[in-house]
Amino acid sequence: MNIIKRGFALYSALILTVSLAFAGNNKLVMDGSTTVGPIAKAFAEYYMQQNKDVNITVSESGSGNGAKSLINKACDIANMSRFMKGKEFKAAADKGIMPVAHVVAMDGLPILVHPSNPVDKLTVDQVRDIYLGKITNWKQLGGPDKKIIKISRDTNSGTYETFNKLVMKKQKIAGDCEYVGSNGAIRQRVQSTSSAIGYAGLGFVDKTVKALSVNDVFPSAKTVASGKYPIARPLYMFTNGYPKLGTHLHGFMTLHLSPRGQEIVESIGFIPVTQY
Amino acid sequence: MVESPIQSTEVDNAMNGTDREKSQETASVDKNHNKAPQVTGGKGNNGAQVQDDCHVTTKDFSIFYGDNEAVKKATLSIKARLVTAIIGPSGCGKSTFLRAINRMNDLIPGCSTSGNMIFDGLDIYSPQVDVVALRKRVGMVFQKPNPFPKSIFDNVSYGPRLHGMLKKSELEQIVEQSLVRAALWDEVKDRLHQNALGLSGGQQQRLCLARALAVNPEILLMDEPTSALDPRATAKIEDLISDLRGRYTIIIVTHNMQQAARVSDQTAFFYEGILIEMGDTKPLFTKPREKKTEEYITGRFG
Amino acid sequence: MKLSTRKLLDKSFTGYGIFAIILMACALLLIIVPIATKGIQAFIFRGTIEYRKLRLEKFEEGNLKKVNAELKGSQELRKPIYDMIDQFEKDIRELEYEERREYRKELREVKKSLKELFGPAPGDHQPVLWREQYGQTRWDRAKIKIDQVLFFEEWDYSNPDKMGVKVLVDRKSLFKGTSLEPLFAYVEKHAQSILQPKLVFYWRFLFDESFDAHFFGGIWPEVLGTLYLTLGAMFFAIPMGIIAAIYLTEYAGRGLFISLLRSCISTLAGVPSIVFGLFGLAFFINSVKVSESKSVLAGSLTLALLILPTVIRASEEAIRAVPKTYKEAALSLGAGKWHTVLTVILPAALPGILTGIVISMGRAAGETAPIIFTAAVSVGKPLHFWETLSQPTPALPWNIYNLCTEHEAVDEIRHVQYGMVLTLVALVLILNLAAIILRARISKKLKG
Repeated sequence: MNIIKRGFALYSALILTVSLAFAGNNKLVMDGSTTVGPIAKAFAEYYMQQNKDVNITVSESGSGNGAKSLINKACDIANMSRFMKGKEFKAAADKGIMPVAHVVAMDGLPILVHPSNPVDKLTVDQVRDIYLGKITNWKQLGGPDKKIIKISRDTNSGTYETFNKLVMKKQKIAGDCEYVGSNGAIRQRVQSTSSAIGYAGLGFVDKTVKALSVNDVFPSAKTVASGKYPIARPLYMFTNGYPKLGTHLHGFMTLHLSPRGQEIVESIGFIPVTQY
Repeated sequence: MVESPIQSTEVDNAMNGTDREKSQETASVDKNHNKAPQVTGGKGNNGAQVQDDCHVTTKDFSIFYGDNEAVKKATLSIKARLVTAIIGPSGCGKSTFLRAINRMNDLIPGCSTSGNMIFDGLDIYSPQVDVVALRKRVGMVFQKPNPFPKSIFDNVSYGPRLHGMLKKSELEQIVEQSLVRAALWDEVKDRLHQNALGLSGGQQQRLCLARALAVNPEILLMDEPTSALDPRATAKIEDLISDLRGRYTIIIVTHNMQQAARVSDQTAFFYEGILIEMGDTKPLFTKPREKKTEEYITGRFG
Repeated sequence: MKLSTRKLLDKSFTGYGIFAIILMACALLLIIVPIATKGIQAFIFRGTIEYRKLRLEKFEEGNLKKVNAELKGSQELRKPIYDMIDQFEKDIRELEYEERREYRKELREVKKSLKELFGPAPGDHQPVLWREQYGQTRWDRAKIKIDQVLFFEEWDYSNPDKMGVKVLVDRKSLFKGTSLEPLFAYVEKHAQSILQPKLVFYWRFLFDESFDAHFFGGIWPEVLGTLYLTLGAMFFAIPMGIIAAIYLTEYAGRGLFISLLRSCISTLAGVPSIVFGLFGLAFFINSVKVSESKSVLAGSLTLALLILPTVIRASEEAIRAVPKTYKEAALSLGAGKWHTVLTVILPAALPGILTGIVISMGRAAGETAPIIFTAAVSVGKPLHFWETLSQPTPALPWNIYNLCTEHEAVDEIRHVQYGMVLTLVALVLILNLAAIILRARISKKLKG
């Protein structure tokens, strides 16, 4: 009799737990790009401070993974530093998901080297030749006699896709290139290796790395916003359809249009979409 | 010997099958320990033996380990409420035979039997027999004392708890009663909740005896119970066996012929799996019928 | 063998054993000591007036009167700095365009460094990110920022055969002769009295949520997440593991199928943890859909699979080690097989089973790969218990990696990284210790 009573109590506790789990529906799940990550995290914290009842979680597993999560209905917002590819759209439509793109910021892709590297500027063609393996030593570019160590993002990354499209022109990167998994990792590799070269989002540039001028244009908020800097791209957040008015999702997805949201973007180091 | 009206414990009643004859249990003479719950039922008896003379009967009973016939076509009868000793040299099959009575041989893979072993009118190896109920009626004490790594109380109450007795007061009574019967109560009554492994070898064996008695079996099997004990503890156990006779049927396997001569009423002599001779102890030891028996007893081999 | 040879061998064997233990102890110290000394700085450090201001304004902690008094003193000391800057800005308006532009550029750098050190200047617009609303809250970081105000890095590329060499240039030299020149000496002299560092024991580091991407606050969501995941993994793995072990020892025969099963279990123990993570994503989240998105439930299930082989193996060994005599005694009293296992064998095997649990618990708490795809996020609130069924959570192992590589300001939050590592190590040690004590107690009870 004791066991039956105990079993029944446990069972009802379990039912209560499960039902409460579905009752508390105030959550937003974000997944995707490591470039958009800092913006997403800052937005999430700001929004959670204004609305205490919602829990926003952010994962940073790469733009490709973000798209996959959105397609599999595993996240509400996919952060992506590139636009969705055709086959991703197709897969989404097949599953009944209609991706809508929101541009939350503009970003440039500075080419980064170690601050001790005397090389100051390169052309897009030179960068491409470096990554193709045609230029292998810094002395070919006017620097000291050191082998160039190439660092790139992995293929899951939106940053990589942008680089591939705008710099590599879809040609294959040389085999001896190192791959890392995030913007932060690129910066870490470059700041610790004096002969390294890499690329990351504008928000990740700090005193420990040096950004090169590309085609004689130095990457800054002004040159990226005016279109002068040749390697620039928008940063997206994708949702399934346009968010329903009045939901937390809508409130969150319009944050980047507000002055405070733009200020956050700028403080992190990216370029806001308006001149707010 | 005058026997007072029969009392059965509640445990018996709980597990009662309708065609089973109740075991007879004399009331304890010592008033202090006479606390067994009174339940009416069972046949009234004033000294006359209601059941058959023989408790267990075997007919052409053989036990095989694989192809090896360890016990060869043994036919014997164990008399009720007497002490029967089984003697013989090492490897003669006496332990095997003993373990067959409560079907402990079932645990050994590859072990099979042929022939009949009748207990209470039923062949215990027939398929409809409930082994669990059988083992409740046929208890066992092993060669090496093997109390559970639990408290003394939990050890003795394990059996009754197993068979459905859950009330604390009843369990306490049974535990006390069993420990008294095993002559251990006075030594442990102050430390019932200490771990049983803290007792000495002799005490542990008496504890195992109490544990076996707690389920109120009809038959008690003892497989060389004193071979691991010192002479003092051995003497205590032998005294106990004498006390228990008349209430339980005891079958004891022993290596020690003198022990068999001391405690048993009947003796069976096994040699190489064959039952050579069986009969009353005194005549068997003084004037054995078989030559082999005489040779063993006089120490010519074994 | 001669006696002397035997003695020599004995001695050398003992010596070798001692040497091995000392080597291991040294290695352990080498790992633990830096973690402990650096990690404790997340809890115990010298906090500046900015720190106390932060605690007061955002967390409502601290003595209002005292902090305000200190703040007033600090602002009085800062005033000359801003006055100097204002004066300088006025002065350069008189200059030529080119010169003015140069000075303006350098001034911008100085103002930026000062803002990072002291916080926004009076009259400045209040920034939205917390990290910009306050100056340096830790004195050790503040010292670095002071150096950044006083000096800047220049790279000497004069040698064409080598990479540039870092040179620290006195910023003072850039403003020689201007009204800004005394600023630097002033900052150097008065920085400590402006910031007023005091020793702080921030024990709430463990219990506060993080704010502004771990710039401020603590690591409670991560600690709670790790606890949820570990206990959840235990909850699923322990019953399954023990019952599987009972089956393998008591009920299973010896046929081909059982041998195959055993080798499967052994193989599972060697599968890389990332494979478990991917499996968890593919099976628990995408196919079975235990939750819509990542969740603690999916993570716990994946971790449970990871530690299951260890639990099964340890339990099996423990059950096998129980003397057969106990089983015989129980059976002879009329107990069925299952009852014997439950009441006699399992209690006797408990110390060994607990050992397996201790080992797996440490593993479950520290594994990263299985939770990357199934449960871990970079940022999130600490979960209530019922939310664990459907929501993901930050967790210590994953967030340590995240903070060390992917974070946008890795150098600023080193103390948080070390603090997290120390917390994880301490957590695992405490869990292990609790289980070991429990096992010792049970062992004692069994031995009498």
